[in-house]
Amino acid sequence: MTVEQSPALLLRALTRASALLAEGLSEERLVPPLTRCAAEALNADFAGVYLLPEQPANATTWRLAGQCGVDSEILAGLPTKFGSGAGVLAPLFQSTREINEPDLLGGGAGANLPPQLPARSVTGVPVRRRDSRPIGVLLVGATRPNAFDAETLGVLRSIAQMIGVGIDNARLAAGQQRVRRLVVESQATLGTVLESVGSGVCVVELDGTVRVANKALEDLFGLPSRSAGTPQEELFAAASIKPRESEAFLARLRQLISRPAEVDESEWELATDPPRIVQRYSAPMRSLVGEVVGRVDVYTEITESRRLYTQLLNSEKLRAIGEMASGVAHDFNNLLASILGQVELLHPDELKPPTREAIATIRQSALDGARIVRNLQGLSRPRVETPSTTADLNEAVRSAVEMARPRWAGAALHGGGAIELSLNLTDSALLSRVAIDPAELREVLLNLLFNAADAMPDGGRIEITTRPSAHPKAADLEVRDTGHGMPESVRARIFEPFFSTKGPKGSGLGLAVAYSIITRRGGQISVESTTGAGTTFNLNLPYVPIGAPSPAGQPAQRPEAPAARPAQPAPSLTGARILVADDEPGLVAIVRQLMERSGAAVSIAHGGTAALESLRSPGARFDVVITDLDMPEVDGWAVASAVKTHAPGTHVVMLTGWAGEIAPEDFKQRGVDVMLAKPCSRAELESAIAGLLAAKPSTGLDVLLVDDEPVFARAVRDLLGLQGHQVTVVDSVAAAMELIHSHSFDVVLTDYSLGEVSGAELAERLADLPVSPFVVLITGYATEIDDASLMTRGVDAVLPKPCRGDDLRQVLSRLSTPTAQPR
Amino acid sequence: MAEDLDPRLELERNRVVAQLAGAVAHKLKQPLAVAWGYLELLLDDPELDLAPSTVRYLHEIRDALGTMDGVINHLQQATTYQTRPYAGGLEILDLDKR
Repeated sequence: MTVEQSPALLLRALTRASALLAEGLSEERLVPPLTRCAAEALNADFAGVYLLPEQPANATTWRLAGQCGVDSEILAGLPTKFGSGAGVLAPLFQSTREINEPDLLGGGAGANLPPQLPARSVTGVPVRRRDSRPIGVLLVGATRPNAFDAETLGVLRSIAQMIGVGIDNARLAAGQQRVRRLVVESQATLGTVLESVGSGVCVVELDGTVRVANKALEDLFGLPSRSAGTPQEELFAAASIKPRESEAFLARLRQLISRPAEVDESEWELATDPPRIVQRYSAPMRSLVGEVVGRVDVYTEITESRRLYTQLLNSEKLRAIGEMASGVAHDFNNLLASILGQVELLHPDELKPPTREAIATIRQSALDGARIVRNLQGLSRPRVETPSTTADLNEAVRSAVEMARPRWAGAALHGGGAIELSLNLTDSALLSRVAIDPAELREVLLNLLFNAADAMPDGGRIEITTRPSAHPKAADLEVRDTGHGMPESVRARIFEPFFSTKGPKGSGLGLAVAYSIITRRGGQISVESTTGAGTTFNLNLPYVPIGAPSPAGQPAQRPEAPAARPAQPAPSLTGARILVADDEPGLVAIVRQLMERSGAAVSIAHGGTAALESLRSPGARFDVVITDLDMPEVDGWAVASAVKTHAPGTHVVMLTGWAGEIAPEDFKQRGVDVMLAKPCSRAELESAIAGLLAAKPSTGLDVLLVDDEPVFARAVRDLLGLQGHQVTVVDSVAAAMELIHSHSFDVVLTDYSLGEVSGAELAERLADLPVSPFVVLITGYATEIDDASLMTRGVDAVLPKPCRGDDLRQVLSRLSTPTAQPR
Repeated sequence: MAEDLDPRLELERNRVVAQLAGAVAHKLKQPLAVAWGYLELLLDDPELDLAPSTVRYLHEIRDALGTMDGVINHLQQATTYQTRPYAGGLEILDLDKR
């Protein structure tokens, strides 16, 4: 003990230090006062406690944690500026070894200290943790020499030990507090996560007790809130799971608890309306050491994704059905066309009534078959199409009812209840022309009637109401039954293909086909239903005003004429030259017979290649080419294209099962003038061809050029060819007259001077024919010739030679307008 | 085409073809059966005293109906899903690849 230090002061300092330790202060609040206690106890002029960082353990960056007596900046700089090399502080700061320099002025190594430091004598000791690992140093100094002897050094060590223990305790307490905070925080995070996830989460202990159940789980299954602590079986027994699935659900839960390590994935349907589908992923929950301590079950609603998947599957199914129908359509339509043809050839109107009626039914069945194929094909490609005919709604209702009656009667005979029918049909012109094929409308009605009858196994009442609706002009149809009705979940899907509530009895296609037909015809169909209170189907069908234009490319509107009715006088095709191209020999033969019966001159080609040959053969001229679409090697498009290249004035009629699939702008662009659905009736085909022949084309005249100057003739031929006309060149009046007797031309272009006989004389001879072509005279003397006298001699126009292409075009276009008549 | 399909979808489509081929065939056969029935009625009734040309046409119709029946039976037996390209950029079920 040095003379300057009184025992009382020492005792006071140590007592205070002990009291500070007992307070359990934090490191920051403990170290500075303990540093002051050290200075006080040793009567030192300054003191500093330097600490090493906690992490990493080997770091050597000193931090001044407590100080007194000297400006903190001077003390803080000591370890870096004076703690290395040969300085007195080096052992302390380099290797936490004790130092004790009693008199730096008396020959010690004192030069290596800052001048502002009042240090004649310094001493320092390590500060250690309980496990004796050094965590810092305590440095004290005084302006007097020999301030610290062995005894005071002992006191210093004790205080350093107290600082070490204090820091140890403070750090332990801080660590514990941090852990406590972490626990609270992570619990809060887990709670937030559980409440935020959209899936229901259920943590179950090995004894089956629910430890955690989040709100999503409670909402999904309609469980009581705060369900934690309840046995899971008790909890889920009250859940809204489909009754027939509920038992299986609980059994599976029991099974999973008994097999803790199993991972399980399953789907369940909830008893909601509409039903929701929930997927459960159940996995074992393990402790940190990998021991199974319970299960975590995650319940996710997959109704929407399941719906989308089903939708995708359904569209695939629809495509499959469409492709399936198309797979048979080609053969089927050819055969049906052939049957229809044979029926026409039977002259039904000349047969006795029973035979005639049987033939009419056969014809109707063939048309029904074709329509079914088309409807199945159309399922996957619904689009609005204008039908080629209209239907009388009331008549269709009556006819459908007649067709459905036998089935109802049959059902009643087999123990079903009687079905009472009530028709409220309004008599209105708006109902007599709805935009739908009568056979299609009948199919829709039959589907609705069968549906209604199926909903009333014990009998009931069907009420059919028709009425006009004014805005927009349309016809409304209502089919109401008093059957068992349907829940919303069924109602919402009733028009979906393959959706059936009739089990194996139903294909799920009836109402889907009805929907497809109605929407394709621009109409609307909807359904209202209440469980136990019946169902009402509402249809709205567009009205076609009388005199509305026929859709492009479609034949003129025709009434549906059963074969039994006396046939309308057929439009005559007398003299028309027709080429029929199809790879189906039977069909070619039947179309040929039908067309010949209509007075046409028919050539046939078995397939596309043969058609091309016929078209290119010398002298071949056709007014119309009837071609199939699907033919091996050369298809109908190629035939149409060849026709338009070689003989632009020739019309192309395509006869195909795909007629409804191809838009008019498409087939017209590809050279087809009219697209007819195969099979079609003779009347349809005839009327289409007659329509084409009646409309004179604005281009494509059949021109005979009579000129003996080969160069001029070639130039005119090429020019007119470019304008879409067909030109035949001869060099004499004799040759012209010979050709004109075997072929009818629209226009004869003739030179005036043609050797012995002039062009004017040719015109005179032509004027004497029963049907004379237009005559255009081309002459180098145009200005000198008396037009008026020429006109009386059968000339329709005079053109100067050489003439301009435009003049030629103008004259021909004037002559080819429908009002122009050769004299 | 089938090879680009999700295997699950392809399986589903094959199943659909097998199942629906029956339904479609049934639907197509209905009008056929009606026509066939009336045809038999006409051909089997000597009292109708049909002209030879009429009988010939009726036989031709019956042949066509028979061929149609064959086409439908072919469809009914379709078990796998193969399509072939068809005129007009369409894909149709290839009934020959069974």
